[in-house]
Amino acid sequence: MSSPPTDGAPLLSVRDLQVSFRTRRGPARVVNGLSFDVHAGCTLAVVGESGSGKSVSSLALLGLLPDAVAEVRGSAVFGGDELIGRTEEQLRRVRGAGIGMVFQDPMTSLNPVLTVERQIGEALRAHEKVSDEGVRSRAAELLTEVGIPDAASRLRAFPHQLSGGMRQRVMIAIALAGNPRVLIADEATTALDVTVQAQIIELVARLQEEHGMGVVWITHDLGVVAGIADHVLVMYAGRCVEEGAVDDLFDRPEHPYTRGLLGALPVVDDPRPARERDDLVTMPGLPPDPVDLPAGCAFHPRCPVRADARCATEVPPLAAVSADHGEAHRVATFYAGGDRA
Amino acid sequence: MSDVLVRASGLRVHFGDVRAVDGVDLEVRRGETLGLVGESGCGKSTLGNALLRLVEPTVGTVEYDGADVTAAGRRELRALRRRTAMIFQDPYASLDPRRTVAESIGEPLAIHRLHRGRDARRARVGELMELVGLDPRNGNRYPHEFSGGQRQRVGIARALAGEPDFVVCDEPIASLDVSVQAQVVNLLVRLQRELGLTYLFVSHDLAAVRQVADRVAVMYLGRVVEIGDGAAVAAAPGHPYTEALVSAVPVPVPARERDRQRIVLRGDVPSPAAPPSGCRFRTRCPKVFEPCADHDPVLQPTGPEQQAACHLHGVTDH
Repeated sequence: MSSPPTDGAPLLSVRDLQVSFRTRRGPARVVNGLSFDVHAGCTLAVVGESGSGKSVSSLALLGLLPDAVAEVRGSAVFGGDELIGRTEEQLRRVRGAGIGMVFQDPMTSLNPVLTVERQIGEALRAHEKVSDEGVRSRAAELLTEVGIPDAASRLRAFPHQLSGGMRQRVMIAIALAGNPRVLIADEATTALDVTVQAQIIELVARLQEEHGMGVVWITHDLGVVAGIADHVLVMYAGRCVEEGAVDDLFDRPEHPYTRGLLGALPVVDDPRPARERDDLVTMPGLPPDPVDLPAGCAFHPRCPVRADARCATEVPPLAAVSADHGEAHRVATFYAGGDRA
Repeated sequence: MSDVLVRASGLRVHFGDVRAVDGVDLEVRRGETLGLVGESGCGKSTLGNALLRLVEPTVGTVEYDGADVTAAGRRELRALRRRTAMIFQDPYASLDPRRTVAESIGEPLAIHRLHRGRDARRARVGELMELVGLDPRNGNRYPHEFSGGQRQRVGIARALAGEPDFVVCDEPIASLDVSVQAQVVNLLVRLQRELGLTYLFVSHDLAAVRQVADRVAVMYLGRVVEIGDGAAVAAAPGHPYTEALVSAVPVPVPARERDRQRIVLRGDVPSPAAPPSGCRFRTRCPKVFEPCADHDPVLQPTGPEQQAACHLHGVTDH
């Protein structure tokens, strides 16, 4: 799973993505220059807390943000085509067939009054002409593929008749209907219990292996990331503050925010009893208001290091600190590799 | 003084056909944090509510500090309410949006007639706010003016207003971001040690429970299937469900994640309206064997400070 990205061209290449929302208080700058590549057969994890811009980025590149409120700039090239600025009609062909998406809450993304068959059928018909029998047999195949037993009878079920894990499997079946080359999973296991999460993670890993999909796994959960990612990108206030190969990033986190996030996590297999444990690492303060981002590094008001005068005035560029398996480990600070708290 | 503060015996809480809690014997020891873990619908929140008499047990008894409170009348319940408290998952839903946070924190003082008089009450509210790391000067603000983590601090201050002995923390960090979760966990741990509180820490998050709890109880489908010293339960689970749960919790260390043998359970949790015969976990248990369908296992010792309800340790019946 931790093999380095293939040398081939990326399936999806995002450059300098910027998203701002129009608000009464002025533009909310939610994504501020995000770049990443998605390679076939590899998993990119995008990590961040609420408001970091991690979900908005994927919605933006699929054209799922309404023009009336969101302004999207930058570039996202998929299969040689630019996605940003495309018409709804052009994007519809990409969604599903090129890039499939699975959201956090299958209960709100599924239509409660349509059967599973109708909903998978819609996805199948969006990309090709299929007969009713064709839809039924292909939908049953997809349900079997995502591990739903007794697929034929489940096709007639409505979402409320399924468990949370089963609904998420249906969402994955819908995402697979168009044979996507990239699958974006946005907090796809966050609403699920851990044992069900383990089932879904196993499922996505198997599907990825069989179809060679590139997977973008958007999550707040660094534990999940450690298990599934090849490459990790940490977001704060709409920017990538650190990225690298999964081992490199977890073993040698450079950015104070990444270190803070890792230190904030309790570890289940720490053998010490609760009373002998140290306090969890905390970061003071809160993420900034996207309408009123601080000057300089957006993290500097909360940063325990703040070792450089430029922190409050200049945005630190994302610069390489090392390379693991040829994959650059990049961090956006003014003092990487130097003095740290 | 007995070292057991809260005891549930033969406790069942049924909602119509749904057997949310279905035969639980549990002791919470004075001054400890007992973690209660389990997945959605296992009955952990209902059990927490029943221990505080916030829901009526269908069968069984709840004792608080040696006294049976199962049939407590209004006056006794009021006394119990002062000595117990609850911290909820979502502080935004549990605080009245039209009251200032000082009013919300002070409300239990009025109900229990503590720190009477305006100045005394204001002083106590200020003290409580400082205790949980809030600036007392912000007392006249409203919940929406606070962040999620700050609102949870308000909920904690309100819970502590009546100086309770026993606090049920029901998923207190589940709706917070990771960095804020850590702040609230540290705060809850500090308060427990400073004030000598007894906690029942209800959570789906075994890693968080391990961080705060001395002992851990694991629930599945209305029953406690394992209980014991937190480190022992996580390191050497006595119940196959605990084993699966521990193995499913992701660890933020890539090398360890790759080497782990994950036990992926098949299927879904059965309906609590119609639990399987015998052992409730048998339909998903990777170690199911002959007696499991006919005999309903009881908790039995598997280690010095550990009990599990599994026939692997000898066949028993409930």
